[in-house]
Amino acid sequence: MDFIDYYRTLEIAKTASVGDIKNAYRKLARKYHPDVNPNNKEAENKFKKINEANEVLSDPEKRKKYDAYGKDWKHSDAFEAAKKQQGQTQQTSGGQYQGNEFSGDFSDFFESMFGGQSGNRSRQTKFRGQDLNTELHLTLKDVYKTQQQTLSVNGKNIRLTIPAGIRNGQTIKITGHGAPGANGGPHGDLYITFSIENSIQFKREDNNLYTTVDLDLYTALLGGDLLIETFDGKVKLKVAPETQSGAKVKLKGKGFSMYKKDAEFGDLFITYQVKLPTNLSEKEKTLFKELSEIRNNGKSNVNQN
Amino acid sequence: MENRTLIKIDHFCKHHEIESSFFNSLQERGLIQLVAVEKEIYIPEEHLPIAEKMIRLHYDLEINLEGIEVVFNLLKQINDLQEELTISKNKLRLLDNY
Repeated sequence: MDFIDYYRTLEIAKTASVGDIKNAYRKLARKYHPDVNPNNKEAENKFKKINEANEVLSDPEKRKKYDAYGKDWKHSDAFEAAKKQQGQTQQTSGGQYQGNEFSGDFSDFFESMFGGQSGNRSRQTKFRGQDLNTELHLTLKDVYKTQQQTLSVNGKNIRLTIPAGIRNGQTIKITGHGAPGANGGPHGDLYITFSIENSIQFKREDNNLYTTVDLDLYTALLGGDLLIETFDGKVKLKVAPETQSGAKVKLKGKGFSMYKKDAEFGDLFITYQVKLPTNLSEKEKTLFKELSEIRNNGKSNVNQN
Repeated sequence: MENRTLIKIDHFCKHHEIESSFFNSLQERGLIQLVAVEKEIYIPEEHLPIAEKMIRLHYDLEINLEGIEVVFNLLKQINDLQEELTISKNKLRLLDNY
């Protein structure tokens, strides 16, 4: 049975820190892991050796024992006896990759020095933290422009950029802002679902806005200028003569902000609703009757009570 | 009709102690195909080896999803090349025997 130089296996110096060992192991494991080296016996054997070296060097107790007795491993029992006398308790630490079927296959050298692996080994499996979900309530006005918000999730403040044009019910993922992982595992992710309330006169569909504008009879018939409210201010609109009730016009680029498209907007669709005058005076009634007769070639079709 | 064994993704994730969002991300990238039956998401049994390999790559080797995609593409290329090599070797052996 030969002595195995675990430092050489991991290609590190004897003075390597815990971080150095972890990095070296990860680098070599990525290179020789059986999942990335299918049907490669050589890589598989190398991977077993790397695992074994990491098992010893990543555990401070095992490393201490290995450093002290490695070359003289046959006397390691004396080390154990001395340690018991000192009343030390053995602590195991991990770093072993979970789930690979090759990690349990250790050399005779390892077995002789550290005994059966089953009793001594303690895997610290890394687990990713839980994903968190939260809901953020905003108004349509809030999401017209990109804005910064600070959210408090589990006592931690997260500065968040909310892109303009985000939709009601849309969920965005903030990577790494979920619950912390276990045993050094990565954080989970944070999922934010937006609930966007529409308290304005415009109806939103995708990036387009829809609204209905009242038009008086005379402007509808004769045409004219109309000042209308859009999302970002007032706009003067030319109304064509003889505009019908229900007619639609499109104002290009006057709709809602497009999601993640800087300074791009949808369209605004306006539906005209012609409002007829009420409380007519006698003179107005006479004039309307006259108009009616003109339209109907001198015959009035208005029955007045 | 062919019978497929489907495993609930929630059970599978619980067993491996991982978040099911990992599989959503894999599916979004077209790396794995999941099956939805009445609001429940399942993984076909035949995909389990690939799924477990992806879990090991991501959680054990800390390879991100982009990396997994690259690894799988390269593994496929290696596999194709190995098949081609085996066919070529067999042809060469036949020629040598003449």
